Amino acid sequence: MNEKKYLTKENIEFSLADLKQLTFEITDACNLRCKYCGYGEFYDDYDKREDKMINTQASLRLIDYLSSYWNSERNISLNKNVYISFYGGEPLINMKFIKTVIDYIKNLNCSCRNFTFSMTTNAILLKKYMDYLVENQFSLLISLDGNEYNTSYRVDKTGKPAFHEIIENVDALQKKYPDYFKEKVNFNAVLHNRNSVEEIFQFIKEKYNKVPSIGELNSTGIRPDKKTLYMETYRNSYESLHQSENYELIEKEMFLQAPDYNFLTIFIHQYSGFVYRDYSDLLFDKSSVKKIPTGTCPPFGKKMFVTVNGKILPCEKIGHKYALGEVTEKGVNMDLQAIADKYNAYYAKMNNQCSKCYRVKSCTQCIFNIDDLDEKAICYGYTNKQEFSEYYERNMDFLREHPEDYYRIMEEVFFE
Amino acid sequence: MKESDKKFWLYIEPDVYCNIKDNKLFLYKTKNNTVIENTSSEIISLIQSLYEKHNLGAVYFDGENLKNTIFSDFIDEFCRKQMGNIVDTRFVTKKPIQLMPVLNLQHDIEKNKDSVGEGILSYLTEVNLYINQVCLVNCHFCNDYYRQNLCCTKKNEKDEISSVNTLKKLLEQIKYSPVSKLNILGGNILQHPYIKNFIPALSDFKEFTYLWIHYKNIVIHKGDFYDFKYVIPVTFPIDKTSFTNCISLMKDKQVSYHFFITNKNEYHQLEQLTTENEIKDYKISPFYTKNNQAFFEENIYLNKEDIFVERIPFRKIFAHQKLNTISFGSLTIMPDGNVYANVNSPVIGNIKTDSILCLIDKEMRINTAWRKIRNKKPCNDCSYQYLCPSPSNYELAIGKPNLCHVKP
Repeated sequence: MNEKKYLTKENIEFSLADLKQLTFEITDACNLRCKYCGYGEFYDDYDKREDKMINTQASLRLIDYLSSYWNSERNISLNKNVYISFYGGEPLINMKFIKTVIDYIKNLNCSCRNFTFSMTTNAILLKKYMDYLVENQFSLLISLDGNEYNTSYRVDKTGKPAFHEIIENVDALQKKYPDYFKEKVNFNAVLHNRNSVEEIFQFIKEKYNKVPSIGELNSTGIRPDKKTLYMETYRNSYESLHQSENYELIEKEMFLQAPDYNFLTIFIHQYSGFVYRDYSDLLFDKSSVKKIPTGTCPPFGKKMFVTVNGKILPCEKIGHKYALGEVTEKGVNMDLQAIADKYNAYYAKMNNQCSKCYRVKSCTQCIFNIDDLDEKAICYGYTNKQEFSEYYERNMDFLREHPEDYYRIMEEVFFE
Repeated sequence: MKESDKKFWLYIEPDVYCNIKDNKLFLYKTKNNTVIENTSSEIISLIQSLYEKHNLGAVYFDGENLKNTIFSDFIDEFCRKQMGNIVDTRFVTKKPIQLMPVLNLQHDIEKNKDSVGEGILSYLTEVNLYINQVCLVNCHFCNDYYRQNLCCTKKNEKDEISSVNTLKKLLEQIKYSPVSKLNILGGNILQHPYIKNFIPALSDFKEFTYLWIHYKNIVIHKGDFYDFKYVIPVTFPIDKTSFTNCISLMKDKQVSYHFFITNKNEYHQLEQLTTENEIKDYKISPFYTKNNQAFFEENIYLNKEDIFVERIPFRKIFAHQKLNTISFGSLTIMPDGNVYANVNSPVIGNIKTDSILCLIDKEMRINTAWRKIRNKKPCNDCSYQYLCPSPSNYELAIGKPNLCHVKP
């Protein structure tokens, strides 16, 4: 294959040495049966769920593998923070694993790294384990879709709504550890046909004084026979927000969690020309640096996700068929050259569209969320001149209405 | 319809740098290197309104104002120099807002001290390693040249030497850094007792290693010269015979000559020497002796025209606000292992005990040199504050915070 090299094996080694987040899917078991779950009835692009627990020894080997990079000459950071995240299923079901990993990490010989533990939980077991979570200063993201009706897709195995149990546990945490709650706890809601952005926002803001992040139903890997049901359940967050009575107020409070501000930030960061990553960007003109097609993160550029079956993926948001390697008790099996080749082949495939796309600079399209990637691979984010002009004007119109937010974004928004 | 009867939008282009100090407006268009200066309070107030957050670079402008020559002359110059424009509101109904020049530095240490250590090895671009301090040549200003520009030095003539292990440990740590210049200096590096072990250790870094040897030491040396790049300091008075011999000895090597001059006469001599000997690759570094103030005032001090001799991109103006563009990214290691972000600044650590990452992190936090900017008087009263180059070692040698005729 004579494909243009966008990415080399060395690039991936640097990404591993500079990894920001390692996420373990520690179990595929869950004590809830949420209707819209990404591993539920709507989808077919994930490994079969078998109430499995992740292999502890294999996971420790992965930590060894990564710490050898963190301790290597390729490490370019001091005291870099690495998030060790626990994901499920419901992670609190596998507390034994969490404790083992945390003990292991705490005894790891890795002076160049600090570790922060984080977890997304449905809060059903929160009261039981909250002392440990607080002791280890977990950043906690609690899944809650709003008020009782809003949360009614979150049900247990018998179909009984879990809302009251969730609230009781969250309230107990808030009561016992108010400072921790204030600093470390956040909420995550899924938007669907039983809630709205306004309802979610109001409930969580009023009850817990938190601004929730609101996600839409996962749009890839939908089973053909479930498409109609999926569409009935799906709601668009932008539309839902704009249907709110006080959408301006909600949007202001949600800021980066609101779609308009999220898009605007990407727009401003890409097109103002006054955003620089670090001090060396101020010294050297990097405008001629080659742009990699699509908005896909480079492999492990943001995180590494390990499934309950030991598959290694660059993110939890993509289908398991795109695994880049695996980890077993014997160690990590990952061919970095093959990964570079794979990405280069995908990039080359997309470049035909990207090279003509006017929005290439602010693209957020992940390759792995493009339907039919291995065949035709059509990017639905492709933007022609006219569409780009509309995109540009749309953002400028928003700024015209919210001029001071330009300064808010430039002065306050730091992603790194 | 008369211009004065029209209603306009006045807007400013985002590539215009604006500074208002002491009731003086200074506008600099970074894309075409043009300047407007104005002291009218009406104009200052008009431009200030463009910078109010709710205006986002554009304001309503009544054509009636154009009857006043203060406004009409300014607007004429403003538009002619492409710093902005006035557009008729009948044809441009939407306010022409602008993405204004506000610096957003994602890893700004002043905004987030916790993320200082992230990716910091990428800041290191130059390492100056002094391996010994022994030398048989007696240059008059040997102890001072290196304090103004990179140069060899005997300094205190201590016996201290860098070990090959120190070098190897350093090379391991910078293997994957963007270091593009590794300068090896002495004393006379050829007199280092283990130079024969040093050189092979550098072989993987050959492309960006520079061996610094004074021209008189080149002539003294009896053996062959290593196949590396050389920088040859040339100090005055020049021994012409030695210099010619040096050129002859180094004719097959990649060599750059660095002349340290203190007056005009020396400049003329070096001109003659470089012409006679067809030297193409050379650099001239003026040297302050404490007795050549006039030479510096005439040749080094900046006047207004010097500042604008080249277009200054916005990136550079921001750089001048955030870092010292001269010393940022450079570390100097002395034979005793002490490490400096600038040889005139306090020591930041020792290579024998501190890792390069720790040293960079420390410099980023305590800022002995890398982030020293032009933020003191009289520069902070000057409109050109961040258009001027960062403060250099000359300022320190001369003992004056600014080397310019603008704010003498």
